[in-house]
Amino acid sequence: MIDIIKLSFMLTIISVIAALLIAFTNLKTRDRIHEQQQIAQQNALEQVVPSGMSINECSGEDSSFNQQYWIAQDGTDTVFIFKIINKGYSGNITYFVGTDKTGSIKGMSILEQSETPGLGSRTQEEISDKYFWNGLFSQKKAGESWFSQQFKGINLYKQINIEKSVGEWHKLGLEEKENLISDNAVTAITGATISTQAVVNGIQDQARSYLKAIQESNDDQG
Amino acid sequence: MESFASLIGISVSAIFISNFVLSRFLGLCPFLGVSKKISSAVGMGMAVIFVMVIASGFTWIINRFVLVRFDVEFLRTIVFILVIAALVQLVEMALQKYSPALYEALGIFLPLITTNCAVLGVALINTGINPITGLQFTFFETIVNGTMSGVGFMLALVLMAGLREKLELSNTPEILEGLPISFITAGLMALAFLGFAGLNFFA
Amino acid sequence: MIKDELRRGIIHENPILVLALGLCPSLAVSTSLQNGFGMGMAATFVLACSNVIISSVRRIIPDKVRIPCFIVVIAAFVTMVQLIMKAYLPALDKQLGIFVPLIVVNCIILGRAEAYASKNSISKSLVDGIVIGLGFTFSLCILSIIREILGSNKLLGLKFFPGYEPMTIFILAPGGFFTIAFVMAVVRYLGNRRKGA
Repeated sequence: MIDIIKLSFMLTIISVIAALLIAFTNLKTRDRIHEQQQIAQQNALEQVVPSGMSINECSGEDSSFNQQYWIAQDGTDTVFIFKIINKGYSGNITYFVGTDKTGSIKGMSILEQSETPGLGSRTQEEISDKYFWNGLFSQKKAGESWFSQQFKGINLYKQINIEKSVGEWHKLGLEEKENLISDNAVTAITGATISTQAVVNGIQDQARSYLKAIQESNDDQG
Repeated sequence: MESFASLIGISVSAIFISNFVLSRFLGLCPFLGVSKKISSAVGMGMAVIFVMVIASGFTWIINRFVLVRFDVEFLRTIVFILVIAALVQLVEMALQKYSPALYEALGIFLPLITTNCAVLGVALINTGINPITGLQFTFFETIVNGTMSGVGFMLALVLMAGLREKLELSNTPEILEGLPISFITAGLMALAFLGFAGLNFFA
Repeated sequence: MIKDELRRGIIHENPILVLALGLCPSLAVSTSLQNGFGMGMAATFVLACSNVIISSVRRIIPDKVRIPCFIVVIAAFVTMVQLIMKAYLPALDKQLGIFVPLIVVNCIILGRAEAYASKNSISKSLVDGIVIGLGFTFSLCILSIIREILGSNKLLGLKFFPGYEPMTIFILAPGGFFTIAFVMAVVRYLGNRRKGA
């Protein structure tokens, strides 16, 4: 009996010390972790609008639409930024879409995704033009993924098509890219049609209804 | 019923699409260590399913009502692993008392279930988002996920054991003998299971 | 002395390629060199620290509860690594996913605690932890380099071969199995040659 008490006592002491150590580390890192999330969100927001615009958060309580969204203004240009969470292949994809009043997309950036590495995760893949040999020690700048770039100029009020026959966007020539925009189409990631479709559906369903709701409340007020 | 479809989705996903061993790489040590004979593979598989189900249930409850409620999610790793270690100990004692034959058969592998990535892995997965519904796992979904992940593990284990029994009798090049040829076999099985990756119920 | 220890950890008792321990994370995170190296360093840190602590309390811990005690110590360090990674290397944390907390059940760490740290002095255990950890990192890097170049034509995110269309299979599950089988076979071949077979 005393044996069991002694053993449990030892184990408890060790567990308590361990828990205290962990709690101490948590205290020291908690703020920094929170900060990292803010930085990530701010970076994603900034990627969505042309540079130089100031971004302000709106709570949306004044309209019939109670979602959080952002407005970026630069003189007379206004860009609405919406946060979309849609179910992808293996989890939720969280991304931002920036659009002007007419529904023309100014930019798109993905905040979080947990799709298959090598397939769906290529939504965030950046194609660098540098090779390992000459790029290893050069400056790294945060780039935009080709998948996001191809959404610029697409209109979300119209049907967005997914074009699978021409290949991936980053390999196309200028003329082919312009053809895609006039067809209001984007290219899919090879082998990750479901992830691509999820991103497109989220824009067509959620972003479209958010933009409409804001337009309507603006019209009501105007 | 919406949720019934989600349970089917979870089951198919856990057994075939995201098989714990062949797709997620969880549970490899016992996969290669125990799979030499089909009988030991089945026994190990059943023990792991049992521990996975109970562990899934307990850890989900503790996560929801203790860790999240009191905002101490950073203690998740240590709490989960202690719960699993305690459960395995209990299972060991229960088996020793009520089924000594099975206890003897499993031998050293029973305490090793504690360090099985699959058990801690499924507990951690259940605290996240259910990819079928896009929402957090409910308690019932957790139990189903735990069971079906275990079934997927056992399926891979038994298939591997069957193949390895045949491999024993064939002529393997010396540098490939043992682990390398087993890995190639596992790779071919993973390739086959990759074929399920296009299955999506709710597209 | 140090050179012998290094050779032991990286070559003769290499945890992944010789002892076949710690396989789960190896195949899962070796899809890119950054991930493989990051995981290796994290595991080395946990291994070294837990070896030191376990060695220093080895005479106090009662034998019957030693495994749970080891687990508690290891879990404490793993949680610390998790929090530090989330704070200072969030991109790496996202990539490694659940395999960071799964360092706790990495057979290497518990195995070393049981086989070495609980029986040897603190300084010896520290050195053992570091060299075995380096061996783990080394094999992870080899697997990662092979898989990243063949599977996505990149190394450290930069393009590698001009005009090569990568074989995505190497980034996916089967590729992991095939790569480790190949590397193990090569290691065995080199070992046989050394023995003069």
